[in-house]
Amino acid sequence: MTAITRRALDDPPGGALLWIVVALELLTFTMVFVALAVFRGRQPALFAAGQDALDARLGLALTLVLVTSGALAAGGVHALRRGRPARARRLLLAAATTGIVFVAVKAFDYRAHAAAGHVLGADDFWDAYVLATGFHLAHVLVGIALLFAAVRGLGGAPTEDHETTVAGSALFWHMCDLAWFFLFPLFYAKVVT
Amino acid sequence: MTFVTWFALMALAIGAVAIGRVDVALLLAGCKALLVGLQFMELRDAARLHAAAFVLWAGLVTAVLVLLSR
Repeated sequence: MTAITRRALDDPPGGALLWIVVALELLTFTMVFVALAVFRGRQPALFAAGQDALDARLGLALTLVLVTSGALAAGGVHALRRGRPARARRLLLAAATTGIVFVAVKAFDYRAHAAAGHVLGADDFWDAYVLATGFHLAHVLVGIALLFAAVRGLGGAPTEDHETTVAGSALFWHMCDLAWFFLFPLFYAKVVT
Repeated sequence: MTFVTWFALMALAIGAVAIGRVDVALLLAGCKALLVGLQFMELRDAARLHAAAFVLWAGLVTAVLVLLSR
């Protein structure tokens, strides 16, 4: 039987500093989720009208891309722990590249909506959509930069900080997943009016 | 394990869209958050207090959002 070794509270996977950042970000996103849920309840007709212009298939595609990217990042962390830095580097690079696919699809989405006049100031729904998904997209961009920094770090001589750097980058990336999991149904699941 | 988690996350995401109800989709979002937290963010190996705090957050957020969306 293998004993389960738990980490100490001051030594979380990914490092304490990144966990503080992630906790604060998740609390901020929680406020966004609650505000959106309240908005859905108070202005169902406006929300339903806005949702008619959203494509749930696109939202699902974005979810699947992020989930895949998160799995690749997790695989990178595991590979590094098993002493396979080259494989870890490839997996993290794949995670970052998949993240770029998310950004490209989102850019296409924003462009299509902007062409239809669905921009900031159009109405409360589009204000909420652009601000909430834009806030998330900003985190995705930071996450991609962190993943590339981890990939770059793995290219040099191995150091003791590699594991924390890689696990910390992946941790921030998974936080982007968590935020999207709740944003997705709040915007794309139809309001019953 | 990473592949199993990835597959479960994909299935939950597709299931949420197929069902189409916001309360069910939010419940499935909570399940996805727990999976990512415990497996990908490695909270299964973290201190019990740390893991419990995350599970509490995911449960509370899901419960509040489901209640507000009904």
